[in-house]
Amino acid sequence: MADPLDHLFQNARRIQPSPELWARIAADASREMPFQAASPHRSLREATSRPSLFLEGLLALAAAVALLAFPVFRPFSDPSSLATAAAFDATLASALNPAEERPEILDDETITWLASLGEIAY
Amino acid sequence: MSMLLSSLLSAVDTNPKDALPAASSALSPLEKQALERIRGGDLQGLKTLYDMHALNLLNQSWRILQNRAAAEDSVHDLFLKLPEALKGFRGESSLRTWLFRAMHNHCLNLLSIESNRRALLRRELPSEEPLSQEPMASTALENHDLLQRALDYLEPDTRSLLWLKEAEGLSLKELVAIFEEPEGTLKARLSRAREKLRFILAKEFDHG
Repeated sequence: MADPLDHLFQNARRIQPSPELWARIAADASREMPFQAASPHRSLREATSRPSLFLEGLLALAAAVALLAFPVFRPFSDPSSLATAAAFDATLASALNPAEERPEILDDETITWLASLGEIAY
Repeated sequence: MSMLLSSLLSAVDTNPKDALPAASSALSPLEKQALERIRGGDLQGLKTLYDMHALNLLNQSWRILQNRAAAEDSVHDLFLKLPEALKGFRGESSLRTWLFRAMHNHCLNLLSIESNRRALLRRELPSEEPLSQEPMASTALENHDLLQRALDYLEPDTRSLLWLKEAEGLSLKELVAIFEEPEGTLKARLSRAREKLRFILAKEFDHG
């Protein structure tokens, strides 16, 4: 004789998911990270074809060329060198105060006087 | 709550290599395809797993929590965390067993949280009418179900064990993977639970 408990379990009522349940899961899952993250299977070609990556590469190249072309920035590469730092300070100072380096403009009278003293060849 | 579920799911089955099983026999071809699609960020992969397993998981949860709305919420939470949690699935058991285990742990935690919340409310509102001792308020649907009313008398963990064995037809080996108890212990628990249920049905429901 069959156990009535077996019958009870085998004929137990089962509930069905409400139609909204999947819609709710789908809506919330779409906002979760795994569905927005890049696929690990994406090819290298796809990855490098991104415009942002291309621009990033271009900027890096431009920065490298700029460093080679303008040696004034090189002292930054060796901050431990006092001599290099001092040279850089002088260069920077002259760049910031060009008037100090500019020769004075002498008037004609002064030039004639200096020439008479033999100080300059006129 | 979702953080808790995440930790539960990660505790179910962890894989240090953080990868899906390469060619696990524990996965059906359809499940394997679905997992690959999920990894690729395709929501349709999740829908495939939902169509395959949601009904069974919902009923397992319903029998443990004894509340339809709470059961649907638990399925929602589980599927929402599934894409991340599946990275830890090693394929040592079938995906169905792995999901039953995750749902079992999730439901017991929900009941524990609910129980703590009720205990806190009872302490904070001593003059109020005592709250129901039931884990979650039952609806008319649950009250009309004879089995559900009988299962009410059992502990949630035992309800889950009985349901998975008797209604879902899980093998003892699968139950060992879910409950992490020796086969002999589970056999004894099942036998005692059946006896108790038989007694409850005879005592409480034979007279109407």
